[in-house]
Amino acid sequence: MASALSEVTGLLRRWSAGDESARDRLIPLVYDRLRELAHRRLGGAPVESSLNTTELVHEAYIRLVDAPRVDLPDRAHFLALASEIMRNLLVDRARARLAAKRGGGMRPLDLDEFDWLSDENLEIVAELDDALKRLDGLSPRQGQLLQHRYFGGLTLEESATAIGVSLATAKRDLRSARAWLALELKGKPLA
Amino acid sequence: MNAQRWEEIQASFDELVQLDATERAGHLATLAIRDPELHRALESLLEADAAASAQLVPIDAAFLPQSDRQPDPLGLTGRTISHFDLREALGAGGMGVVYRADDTRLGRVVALKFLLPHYNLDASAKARFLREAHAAAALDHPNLCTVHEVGTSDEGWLFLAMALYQGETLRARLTRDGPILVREALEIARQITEGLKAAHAAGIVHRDLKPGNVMLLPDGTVRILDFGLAKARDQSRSEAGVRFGTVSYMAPEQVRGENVDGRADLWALGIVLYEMLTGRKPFGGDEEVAIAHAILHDEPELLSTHRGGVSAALEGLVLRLLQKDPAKRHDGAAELLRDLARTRTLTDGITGPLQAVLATVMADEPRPFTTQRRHVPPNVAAAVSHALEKVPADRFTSAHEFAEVLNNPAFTLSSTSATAVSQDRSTRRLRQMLYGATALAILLTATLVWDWMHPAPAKQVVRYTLVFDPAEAMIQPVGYFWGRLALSPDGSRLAYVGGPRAQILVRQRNQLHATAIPGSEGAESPFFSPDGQHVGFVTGGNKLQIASLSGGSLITVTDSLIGEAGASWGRDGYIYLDGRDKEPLIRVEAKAGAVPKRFTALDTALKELDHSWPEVLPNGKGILIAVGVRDAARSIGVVDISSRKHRVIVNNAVYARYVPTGHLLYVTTDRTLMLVPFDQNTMKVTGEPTALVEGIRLAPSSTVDLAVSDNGTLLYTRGLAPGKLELVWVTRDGKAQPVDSDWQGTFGEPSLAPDGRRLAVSLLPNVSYDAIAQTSDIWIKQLDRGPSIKLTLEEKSDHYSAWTPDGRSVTFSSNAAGSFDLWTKRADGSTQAVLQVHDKRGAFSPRWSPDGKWLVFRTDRYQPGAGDILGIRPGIDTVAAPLVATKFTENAPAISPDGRWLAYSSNESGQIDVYVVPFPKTAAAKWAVSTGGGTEPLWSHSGKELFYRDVAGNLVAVEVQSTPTFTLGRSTVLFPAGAYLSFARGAQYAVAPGDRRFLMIRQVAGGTPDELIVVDNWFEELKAKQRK
Repeated sequence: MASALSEVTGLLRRWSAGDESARDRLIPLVYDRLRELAHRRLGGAPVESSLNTTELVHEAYIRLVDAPRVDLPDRAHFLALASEIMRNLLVDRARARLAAKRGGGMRPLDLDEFDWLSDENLEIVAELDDALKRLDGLSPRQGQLLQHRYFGGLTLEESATAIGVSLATAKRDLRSARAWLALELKGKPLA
Repeated sequence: MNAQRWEEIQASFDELVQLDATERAGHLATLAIRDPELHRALESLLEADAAASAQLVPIDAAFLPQSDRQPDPLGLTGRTISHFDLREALGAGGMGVVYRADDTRLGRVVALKFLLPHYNLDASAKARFLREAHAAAALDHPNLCTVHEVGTSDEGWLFLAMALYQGETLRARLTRDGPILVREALEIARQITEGLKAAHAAGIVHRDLKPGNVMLLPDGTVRILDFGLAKARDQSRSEAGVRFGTVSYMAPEQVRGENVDGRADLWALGIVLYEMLTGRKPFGGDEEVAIAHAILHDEPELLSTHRGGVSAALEGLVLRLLQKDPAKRHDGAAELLRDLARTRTLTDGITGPLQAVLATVMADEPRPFTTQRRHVPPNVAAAVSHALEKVPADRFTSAHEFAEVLNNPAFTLSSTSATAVSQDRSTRRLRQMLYGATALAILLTATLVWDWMHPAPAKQVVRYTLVFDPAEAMIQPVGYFWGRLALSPDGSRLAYVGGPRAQILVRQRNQLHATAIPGSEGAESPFFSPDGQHVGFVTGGNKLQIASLSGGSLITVTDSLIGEAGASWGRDGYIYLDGRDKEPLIRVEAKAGAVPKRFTALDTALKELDHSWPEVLPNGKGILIAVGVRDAARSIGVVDISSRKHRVIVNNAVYARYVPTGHLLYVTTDRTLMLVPFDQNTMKVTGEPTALVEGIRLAPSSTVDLAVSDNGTLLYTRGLAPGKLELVWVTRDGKAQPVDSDWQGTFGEPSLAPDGRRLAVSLLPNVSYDAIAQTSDIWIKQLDRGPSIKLTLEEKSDHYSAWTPDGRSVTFSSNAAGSFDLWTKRADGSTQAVLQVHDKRGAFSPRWSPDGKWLVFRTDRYQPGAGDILGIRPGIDTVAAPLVATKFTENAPAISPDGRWLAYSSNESGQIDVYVVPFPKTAAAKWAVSTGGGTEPLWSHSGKELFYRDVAGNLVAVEVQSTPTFTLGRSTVLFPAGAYLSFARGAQYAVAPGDRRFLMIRQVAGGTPDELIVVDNWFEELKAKQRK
């Protein structure tokens, strides 16, 4: 436990300092921890319950990072990475289950023994993912911002730090991106 | 659309959203002509933005599935705002909504209050509010709520991060208890005034002081909430013309909308004091208008109109606070403090008209009072009769009870065998009174009883032994047990396991008898909810239930508990329990159908074996636990709830409870009750320990009877630990005789060889209770002659033995190979043990069929989907087949002597009962043998009887016929077997050939019976200690 703490904390600092290989080493650690936490959270939970992604990402942070030893940039980087991994974990499962439900050729592989999302949320998550991908094409910065918000529950300040923009820019970006997303999800996208 | 186009659209959007509505409309109109396409895009974006901003929460929340714990008016649970993770809504009021939140930056739990958006403050009002709130936040005073931070969220919500206090509001207290004692009311008023003094000195007026804004903490501290907030409310009200909150506590100048100063808070305190003393507000009315009118024009009725025992000084003080003209009130909080102190001195002891009477009477003390009657001045006599009329009958729960008090002045003593009360001066006075002034005596008795029934502020430390009616006696457990008593947080109720049916009994302190909770038969480990209105307990080792003390049916939290018992109910809505055997702490939400989950992690590097006897600290930050360590004495640890990490704070101790005075009370491994200063916020021991009592009773599961209420009642038991066990023969009429009085120890699961001359039994090595026994062995004893041999040699846990039908070998459950498997070994120890059955769910309680073809066993009830009965034909089957496998827990299989029937116990009906099914075709039929609860079935050798234990602990014999088909006959209670070891999971007795006697396990006689000692107002003793 203690070693995992310091390992992640150390990697986080190296990554913040610009060492991209540290990020690659962080990913599996965060991935495993998020999965484990989700397992624990969902093990035996009633079928209709879904994951609270914000809680999960922050729990992973608390468990993996030695909080007193990191500053805002480190925390922001971690949470941003975790929200990306969270998104992948969630979207993969949603898509696999949707495919299985539609009787498609794709087997619901690696679905663990329980479901991460309730049925009515599957479509929403897949749609959200699609929309965010489109937003990535228009403005990667805004795509990340929304990803941080919806899959990791980052504060605006954390998000701005992770992306490397000012708080004012992030605030502005968020407002238009949210309006854009609302139109996408309502099925009335901007032409 | 491409990235460049989106950038253009965005740039315009960013510009437009900054503008006000008129300017924006102008821009859009121009754009509609110049670039219609851009105009369309911007229109829809702005529309979406308006919708999103209006319901920002719902849109964001759509992707954040919420936990539906509490009503959450703002939908913020689970969100992160600034550096706060919002956990749950704690409540909503006129001013805003309060959430419990984690401060991720400082790692503490806070109360986060959001101002309701309908205050709609404009920028300057917002700035004023922030200024005021910042000023209030800067105040640091023990009687003011600590405000950590004031801020604005991304979405523009104003919020305050405040310290989260455990306690209740004065409003809750008054609603529950009604009027409170004069001394206590004065003390609360004093602390409020201290808080006001500090705030007024900083130029801050509360403007909304009322019982709902006054927190009473368990340690007696009073804190005022919401300082500086009412201004924002008042400002928005004046703009919107809407009235928020209650007018009842407003000063006349406030009602008129004039500028107010600190003296408005003094008025409000006057109302609060009036309400504490009389249970009513001085200016009443059904509507706000009526109340406002009364505040402006009416004079309040005297306190003494509604309550006896009010001194003239107190009456004067309250009247002065309630002067319509602020100039006539006290000149500031400092003056009020002096007045309060003076009033308190005059009020100490007996108050009001009585005080005058007593002064007269006491002056003549040397002479017998009987002859003094004529000396009572007429005006005093009038005062007495006046006071008598004013004794509120509703202080007693019924007229009958009042009459009982009058007839029995020693009521308070007899109900609890109190001894020290007789030293009380008031009681001596009472005795004198009784001879002559009956009227006085009645009043005094009433006052004493009142004090007893509302024990909070009485200051006399009283020690006594609590005596139970024999029919309601606390159970005397044999062997392992998980706790038998709990005290409600307010000290008014004791819940314990007792009576003939081992039920949860709840006894109110002002009653002689206890009330049983129906359906709690065989319960263990009672615990109270934080509000004291519910009792939780565990039955059958796997069912966690909650009973409301106001009645109603039991709530089953879970029937597949992965913990044992030893539980604590936190204010966070979770119950924390002992993990089973060698597990960490378990947590489960206190609601029906919740799922228990592991909460802490054992530190295997430190060889930790278990976390047990949790108690959630009052501030909700931590949990006290006992930590079991391999090959070492137990210790006390504390778990940080937010990080779930724990550390050891006291070594060589088995059990700890928190004391609201800021101490830790714990019992050492050598059975001494110790006290040490402890800070629940830093979760650290902050001083040197002192020994209080030696010879605390310590049970085999390292539990002790120890409880402290928030108001200073301490409970504990002394007496010898129920220690060694011995094997005894018990005849059908209940006569017992030791098998070998030299052989004592912790025995379990005896099994007799078919010839009845040899016994296999599990035995724990001799270890003290403070260390957990890691191993247990199977011993074989020659009953007619000679020595015993230890059959199992590995340093492992070996349990549950069964003889093979040929009587040559013993099959037992052992974790020699890691998991609990069944092994068979020659009973003379001449061969190595052979692995018989491995099942990943564990294998226990083996039984051979008489022909030796089948071996049946049960799996571990803790494993998911386990707690089933399986069977295997050694040499034929490779995998065991399920015989009785349901979602319920099946235990204690036993095959009939003719090999055609299988008896077992199951909790399928909600309680554990004994059932019989055909064997091996178990699904063909089923008979319920016991119906009122039964465990540990065993067949007689003749096959004509089936024995089991009923819930009352009796050994019951049921006549059975097994040919041509199975029929149940008469059932007879053979003898009370409550004194013999029992365990629902496997029979703790054996039947001798001939069925005339039973081999059972009991506690070795001797030792002192335990006595339950109560210390009331124990905190006074602690304070005295600290002063020294």
